[in-house]
Amino acid sequence: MDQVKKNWWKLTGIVLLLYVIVGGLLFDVPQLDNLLQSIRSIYFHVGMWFGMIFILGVGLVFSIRYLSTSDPKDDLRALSAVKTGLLFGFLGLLTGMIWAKFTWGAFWLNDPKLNGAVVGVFIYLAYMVLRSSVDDREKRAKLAAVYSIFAFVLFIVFIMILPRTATFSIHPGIESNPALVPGDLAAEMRPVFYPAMIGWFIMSYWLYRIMFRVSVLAEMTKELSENKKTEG
Amino acid sequence: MKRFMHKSNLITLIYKDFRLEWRNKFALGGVILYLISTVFVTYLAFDGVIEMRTWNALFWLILLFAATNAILKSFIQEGENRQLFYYPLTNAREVIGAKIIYNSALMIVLSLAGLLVFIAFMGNPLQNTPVFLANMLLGTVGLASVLTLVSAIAARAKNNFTLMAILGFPLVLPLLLMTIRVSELGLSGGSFAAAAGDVLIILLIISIAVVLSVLLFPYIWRE
Amino acid sequence: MGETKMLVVVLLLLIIFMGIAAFLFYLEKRLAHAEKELKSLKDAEEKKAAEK
Repeated sequence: MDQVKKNWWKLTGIVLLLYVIVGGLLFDVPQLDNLLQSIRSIYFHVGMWFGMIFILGVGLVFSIRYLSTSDPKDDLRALSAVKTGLLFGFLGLLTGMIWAKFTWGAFWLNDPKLNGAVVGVFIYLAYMVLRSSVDDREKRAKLAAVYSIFAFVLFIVFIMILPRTATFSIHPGIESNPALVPGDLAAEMRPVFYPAMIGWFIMSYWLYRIMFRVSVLAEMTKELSENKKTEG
Repeated sequence: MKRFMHKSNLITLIYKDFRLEWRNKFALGGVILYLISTVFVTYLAFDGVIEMRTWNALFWLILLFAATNAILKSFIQEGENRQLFYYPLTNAREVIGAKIIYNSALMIVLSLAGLLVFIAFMGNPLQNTPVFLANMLLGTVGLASVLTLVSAIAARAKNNFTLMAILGFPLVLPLLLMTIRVSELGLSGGSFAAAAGDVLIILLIISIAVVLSVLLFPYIWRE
Repeated sequence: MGETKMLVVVLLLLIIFMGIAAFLFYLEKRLAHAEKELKSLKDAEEKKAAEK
């Protein structure tokens, strides 16, 4: 019982996503010209992107906090969030490509949202490269925090202005970011869509927590073995 | 030095950057030569297929590379010893502010040089020159304001052009896409009014980049 | 026919997802264990250092 109390939010996420699998695949969806049944991907594909942005936002908070606390754990938290964000980013690309193949006949199209997603992945891959090119732990943490704050804000600006840059898009709502505008989504899809988003947020946070604990353990082991070396 | 610092640190720092550049004329000459030879290579490689949109895209891409190259040295050029010397005399906000202003000026010079070379080699497609020039000014200042902090990070990481490029390119992309759009308007004879929305976004990006740079630079200035 | 096929797919996905969730819980259990072990190691080390 103690376990359930401690893990209630994880269980909520699991239940939500189990419901999304059932509801997303079996409930009625509106019939649209070229989307047909593939519109169901929205519960999973969009969830990956929302999860990515959410967990990167969590990373941003820890990056900012690191600058004021200089606590190495905050740096590890930010790093773990970025890793999780990258995982979700790759999954989002993958699910998007599969969806595009079935609906549009090609894995890749020059589409603003797609490009935005790729840029997001590039930014955070660059973040990882930056980290790997600095040896000193404190310096690395500082540089990484500064870069990730700078990059996250510009990335959000990018996502918001991207739709303007295109005259053509396979995604709906060229002038804005739909899915975020409540009225845009068909009424019968909302009971699945919103739980799906919450479920994916919880999943991303859970994965982030695990990544964080793993990286703390890795640090501790490194420290211990270093101590041993200096002793011997 | 002390007397100068008394007056206004910002202006002194900008002045110092210009002096430094002047003393090291080969570096500036190097960047300009880089610009010219890139344009020439592009001119040969794109022989006969340059229409207006290609012209525009090439122009901004080459400017982006020149900017990355030029701004990269803004922190590397000054060795650690000199940085130590600044610590008691000034503060981080003024240092980054001066660098952004100086890099903007440098980029304006570079972009004008680039434009001349482009027109010389590939013809002059400008139909609305004021719109094009105003946008060029904004775009280059934008490049300078986004890339200056990135160059500070790259310099601290003791790394080279590659790191600067992979850190900076995804960040300048929104700015670049907007400037290329407005630039196209200038090339096809569009009016200021048509560009207003995009110009506002460019201004917004520049101000965000400057504010964030000033806020964040103090954390990485001192070790 | 289509209906049953769909049900099978849903069932399969449910099982896969629950498998992932179970794996994550298992991972957390292992993590907690490893954390405890490392902590005791570290404590022992500190004790040794203090004795010296």
